[in-house]
Amino acid sequence: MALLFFDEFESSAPLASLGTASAKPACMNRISRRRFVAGLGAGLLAAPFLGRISQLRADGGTARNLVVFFSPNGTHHHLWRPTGSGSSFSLPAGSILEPLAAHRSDLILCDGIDFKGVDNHEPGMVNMLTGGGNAGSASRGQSLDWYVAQELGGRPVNLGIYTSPWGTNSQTRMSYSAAGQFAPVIDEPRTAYNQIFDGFTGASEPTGTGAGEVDPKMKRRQSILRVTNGEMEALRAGAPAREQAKLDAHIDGLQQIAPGAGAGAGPVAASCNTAPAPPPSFNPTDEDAVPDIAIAQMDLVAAALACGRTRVATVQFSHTVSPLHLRWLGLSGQDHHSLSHASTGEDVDRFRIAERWFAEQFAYLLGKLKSTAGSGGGTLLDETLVVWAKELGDAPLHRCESVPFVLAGGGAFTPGRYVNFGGAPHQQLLVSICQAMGLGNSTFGDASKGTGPLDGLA
Amino acid sequence: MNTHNTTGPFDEADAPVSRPLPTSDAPRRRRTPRLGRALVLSCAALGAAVAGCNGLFGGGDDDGQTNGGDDTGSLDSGCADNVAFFEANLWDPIMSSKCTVCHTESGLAKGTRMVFDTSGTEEALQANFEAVRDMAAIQVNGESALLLRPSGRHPEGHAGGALIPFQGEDYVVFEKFVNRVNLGVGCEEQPTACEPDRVSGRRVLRRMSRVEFDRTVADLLGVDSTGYILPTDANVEGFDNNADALLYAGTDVQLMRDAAEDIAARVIEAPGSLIPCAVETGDDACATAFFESFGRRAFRRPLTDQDRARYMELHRSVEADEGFAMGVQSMIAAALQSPYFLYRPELGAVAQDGTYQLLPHEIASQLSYMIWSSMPDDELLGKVESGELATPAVISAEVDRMMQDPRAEAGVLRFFRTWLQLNAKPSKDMTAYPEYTEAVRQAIERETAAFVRHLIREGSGSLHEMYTASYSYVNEELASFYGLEVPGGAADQDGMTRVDLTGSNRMGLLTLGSVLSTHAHAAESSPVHRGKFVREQLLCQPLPPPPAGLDVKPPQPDPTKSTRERFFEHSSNEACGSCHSLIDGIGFGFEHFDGVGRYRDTDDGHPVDASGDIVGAPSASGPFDGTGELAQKLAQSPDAQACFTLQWLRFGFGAMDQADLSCMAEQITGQLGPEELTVAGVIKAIARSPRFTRRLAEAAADPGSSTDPGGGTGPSGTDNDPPPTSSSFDIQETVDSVWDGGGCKSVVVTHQGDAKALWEVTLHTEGTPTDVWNAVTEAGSAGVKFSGVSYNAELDPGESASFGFCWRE
Repeated sequence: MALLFFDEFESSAPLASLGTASAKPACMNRISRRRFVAGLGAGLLAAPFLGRISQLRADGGTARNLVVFFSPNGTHHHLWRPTGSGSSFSLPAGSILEPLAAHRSDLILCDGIDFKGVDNHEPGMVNMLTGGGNAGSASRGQSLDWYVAQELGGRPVNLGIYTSPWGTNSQTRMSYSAAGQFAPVIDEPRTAYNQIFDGFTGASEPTGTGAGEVDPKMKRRQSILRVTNGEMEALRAGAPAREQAKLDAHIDGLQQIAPGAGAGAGPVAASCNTAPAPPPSFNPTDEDAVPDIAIAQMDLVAAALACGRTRVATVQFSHTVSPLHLRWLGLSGQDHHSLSHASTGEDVDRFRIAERWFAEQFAYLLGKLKSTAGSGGGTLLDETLVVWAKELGDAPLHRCESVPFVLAGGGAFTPGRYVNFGGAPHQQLLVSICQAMGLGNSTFGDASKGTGPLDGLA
Repeated sequence: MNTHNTTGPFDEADAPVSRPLPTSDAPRRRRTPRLGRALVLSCAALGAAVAGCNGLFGGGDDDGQTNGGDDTGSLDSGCADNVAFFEANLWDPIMSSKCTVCHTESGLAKGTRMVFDTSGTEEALQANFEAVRDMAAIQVNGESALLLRPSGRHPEGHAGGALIPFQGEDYVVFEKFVNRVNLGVGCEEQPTACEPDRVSGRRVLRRMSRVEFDRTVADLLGVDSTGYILPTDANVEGFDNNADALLYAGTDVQLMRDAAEDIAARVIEAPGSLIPCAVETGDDACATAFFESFGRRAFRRPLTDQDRARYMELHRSVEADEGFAMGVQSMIAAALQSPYFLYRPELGAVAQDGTYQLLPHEIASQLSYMIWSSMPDDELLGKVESGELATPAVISAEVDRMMQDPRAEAGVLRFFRTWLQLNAKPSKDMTAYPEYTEAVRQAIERETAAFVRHLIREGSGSLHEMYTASYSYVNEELASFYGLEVPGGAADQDGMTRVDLTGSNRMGLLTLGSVLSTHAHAAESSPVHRGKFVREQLLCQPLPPPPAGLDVKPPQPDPTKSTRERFFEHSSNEACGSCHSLIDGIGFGFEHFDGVGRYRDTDDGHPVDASGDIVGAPSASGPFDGTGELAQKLAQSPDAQACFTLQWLRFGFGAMDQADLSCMAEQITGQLGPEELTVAGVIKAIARSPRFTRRLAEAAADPGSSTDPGGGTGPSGTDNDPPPTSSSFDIQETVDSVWDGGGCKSVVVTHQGDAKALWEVTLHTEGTPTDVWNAVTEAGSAGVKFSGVSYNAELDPGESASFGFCWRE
């Protein structure tokens, strides 16, 4: 099913589509059969090789986990940039990054990374983590989080904060499970907890039910699943190819909730003896709840990594063209998008204040990972590469040049630096991140824009 | 039959570029404007020179090689009816609305090689065709610039954004045009003629959207499911029910399972449950009887024996472990996770003419979800089972019946809230608007509901009344908020009372508090938001996003100026003005209403100037003063009327195929008499349309292989044999990057032969290829053999494909 699934989306829209995640039908003629073979080819070609590399690198002390943190609407470079360069930089008082001062020695502040051939909100959002890839790319058109997780044999945990008041579309999503297919994001912490820790019993006990006694609830679920699977296949048989692709996504989801599918992604750290306490429930579209939801979601990310539930997670704050009002900062007059575009007047300062709040959240995430024990003896931050990504560079100009990235943790790159990469394509950063995670791919996304790792990062 | 085949298929290859059109083409010029047609920009007032724009919108593409037709001066290949195809398939339905905001003499893209004449004359059509054909001939990296630019895939980007999504329906049309003019391929396909009774649309499975799920669960089981955290719906141009975009993927499925289990448990625990016996004494007969009535309603169709067997087997197996009640509960939980419940099929059965006839139960669900946003009732299901629901007359009568049902009020309100973009709660700055309390906000929501209810119940339901009604609904709090006298009449179920608006400066839909407060900023009004709202939602003329490179800074507070003055200055520079003249001219007309929808004569001490001007909307253009005159203009505008129909079509079919739907909208609106131009009249006309009961087979609806001449007519032989591979390929290799231990290379393969062929090249690589894009590989003794993937495997003569790979030593 997985291969068939891949094939169905093989020719689907690359990510520049306006809102629809459309899959093109595989027509039943010669093109279709070739397409099928091509889909198989691209997948099988890369997989064994990457698997081998991955094992080699995993012992080499590179990052074990990956977290992508996103905040929207670009930046004002003069408020973001540190002073100095290399290892002798400082974060000016009042600047956007000043709240990260306590973590200065863990950071790599990346300047001068461009999204080549891409500008504006929606294209920036689409390209940020996909590198503009499509199903024919080495990265299969997936976003960084999905590609890395899948190459490592798992799936990412995609958590959001206020990402969904506008529904799902190419402005509101950054994660793609396949070319053109938006990955679901969970904005509500209690719901996220239930998904992440479904069936988890803690480090003291292996996951899954013990031999002998069968939980009747599990047995019942299995009986229902059998009915559902049969119905899916029957409906699928009479549907056109394009509709089959839709059902395949559903069937893939059914496989994830099948008994035994919920096994974790790796060893459980000592800090996770039992499942953590569940967070409270929130209204995910309440602007005033955003600060509390943010903390709960970031705590969940740390717990999911520590408990070996996943090796890849995302924390997505709202989305490009964000309508969020940061009311708790007294910024209720304009939404974040409007503030971001101001190039003169008091709104520039309001935007600076808003951006500093996001920096504080990033600092909280780093602090949380630093204060949690990892599975390898050090802290969780030691083994986790954390990336703060944005979708735009200069906000008032809608440009995707010098899109600011901040990296931390994971041990793969020399930290404590401010580096200007002089207009390097961001595909190279995505490759570097993959390689830091032990993968062997040399391109990510649109290879015509850039190949190989980012020179000067390692 | 089309009338353009009086000339042979290839005779235009020798025709001069500016040949006269065949006389038989004359009647096809439409005199009524096609929906969404040309935004005839009156930006000329902003001056001829838009300095700085040429930097943004450089010509580009100049370094690409042209690849069109022959060398004799005519760039036109093949097909006799290329101009007709252009007009009917590209210009009218797509380009005249999507491209003409910028690509005109005064638009932002005036410095590019595509500048359109929007005058609507024959000469203009010919000139526009030639500009687009020339763009189609430009090849960049082996692809036509006409496909790369608007889909946002051009190496230099497209300043107007990705307006034609790659491989979407519009893109396929562009691809066909490129193949026609560049290669003479695809000539047998007739231009899309917009004529009555044309079947359109694909066979689809429609996942229920969230609101449909909630209302269906309520009608099916009497359970309120609105509190569950469930998957977020895809949002396509504001619609939450797009057939292509809605799916359940990954973690969505777990959310649906958890909700299904919980709902099923609540049904069993509820007193007076749906089970036709006491659960303590429940037996197989009782379970069978339960499923007989429940299953039919859950699946919205007659049950099959397999359905009965599957669910009874489930019941028995669970009953054996956990008892009768849990057995029934499992049947409910399973049905709520069933694709027969979660998806509405519009698949049909193949008919003699090759189209698909939708089945009665599929038609019933189309009706009930379009009108009620919920499942069919027993009466409708009865008509499915009796086979009655097949003719337009019965379907029409059913629409009448369903519109009388209270569920229609909620269903039609959902359409209005979607169309008018009222679904998000407006966020207001309480310092600026302390009077906008939660109670006021809720009253404003109820005002819209009561207004829509009245319109379709006591009112005429006409579009004219919708725009110009001199009534609305308030409670005491809202009346005082608006500054209206508290009316004396009886309150409705929501506590709202009808108020006469005569003399109040409020009128119809445009001055509903919800519309005014949603389309505004948190602390002030917004001429931009309101103008964009009218332009895009009420006139169906989409606008591109502001291009990158312009400083788009919003107007800053300035107590010495009115909102209008600040917004005018902010976009009065030439680069911004060319688009904002389309937007702000309308939005300024709303300036008598503040950011929360209250009437005002002064704006922060400055007298309000609410004079406005619509440009570029043929039937609505011209100056107006205030929302009252704007409402009158819109009510009488055929553009606005057809747009209303188009929005209902998008909603009803969950589709965005612009070409087909705008054609239908024009047909339907044109056929409705003044007294039928009502909400119910539009719904009924949609339900009578061919697309409501018939769909196209896949190949015709969306040919995936549009480069395939098809039907065995192409040079490549039959459909079953792939074209031969050939060795006549020119190869250009470029090393993109090299690093210690590896590197990457890109390769362009150009077909030198004279017949369509599959490409294949063998290269000696310097190590093991680790990443390959746009190709597949096979290792051999001579090196690594690369061949194409679905979209680039087959090359026409002269055509190129690009692929690349990296290696590791």
